[in-house]
Amino acid sequence: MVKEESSVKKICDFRYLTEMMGGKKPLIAGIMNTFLTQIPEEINGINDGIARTNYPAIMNFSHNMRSTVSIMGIAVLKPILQEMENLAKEAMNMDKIKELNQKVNSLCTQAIEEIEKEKFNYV
Amino acid sequence: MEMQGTNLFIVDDNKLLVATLSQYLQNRFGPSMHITTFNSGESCLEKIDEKTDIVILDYQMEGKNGLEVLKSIKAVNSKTEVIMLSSNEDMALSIESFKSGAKDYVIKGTGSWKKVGKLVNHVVTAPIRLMVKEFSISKQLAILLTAFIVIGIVVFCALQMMK
Repeated sequence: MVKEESSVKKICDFRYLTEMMGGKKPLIAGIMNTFLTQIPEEINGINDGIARTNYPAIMNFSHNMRSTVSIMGIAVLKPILQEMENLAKEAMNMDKIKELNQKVNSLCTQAIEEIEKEKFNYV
Repeated sequence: MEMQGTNLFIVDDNKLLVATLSQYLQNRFGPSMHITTFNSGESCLEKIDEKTDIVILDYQMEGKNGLEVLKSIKAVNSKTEVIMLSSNEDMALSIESFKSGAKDYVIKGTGSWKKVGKLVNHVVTAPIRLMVKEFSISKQLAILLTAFIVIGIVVFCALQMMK
């Protein structure tokens, strides 16, 4: 059965960004484009850190990504990234970090799709 | 010739946060707010001088951390107001920041930009509060006097440039 697009719960909330940008559409679109450039770099940074068992890199990228996703109102990602950062700080439980990273990758893919569509409303 | 206004630096290695916060502050304070952004503490320290009024400074960065940068800023210009930004609710770190001369310690997240905006406004309006306190005049009169002084400086600068 084909899942209808509207039945997928959206994870981005642009209300805060819109308020902070004073509702100015070009500014919001610019910030969205910066997010779309930056988030793949951060995802790659975490993936690479896991592949190399580089805990400081995982900690730094997950820490940075927490700020990045909060700007787009992706609340669901924040506790996952916080847990990943805490584990990486203690340099422990790589299996759990990998499990969390799968969720991060999946949710980021969804967020990117949402923002790719949404940004056309701000042109 | 130097332009009048407030010189504000934003220092954070998260480019999205820097872009968003600078747009927000530019929107709120207008063209009199001269914002310069940096992605590291080291690059900021190269530009800090006696004309830097406010620095919004992230704690966790590659290279020097925010606390080290804060101490270096204060060594160059003790009058520069520094607002620390951090994702960590670390009491010891916030106390250390205050001890080192930070104006405030703001936790990143929803609502943090508004708090930063209020703190920046507090610094920008400090001369008005000083006038109210020192000369026992009303706030409205202080704002009016400040506006006259600013306009006077602008006219003076314009006349100097025309010579």
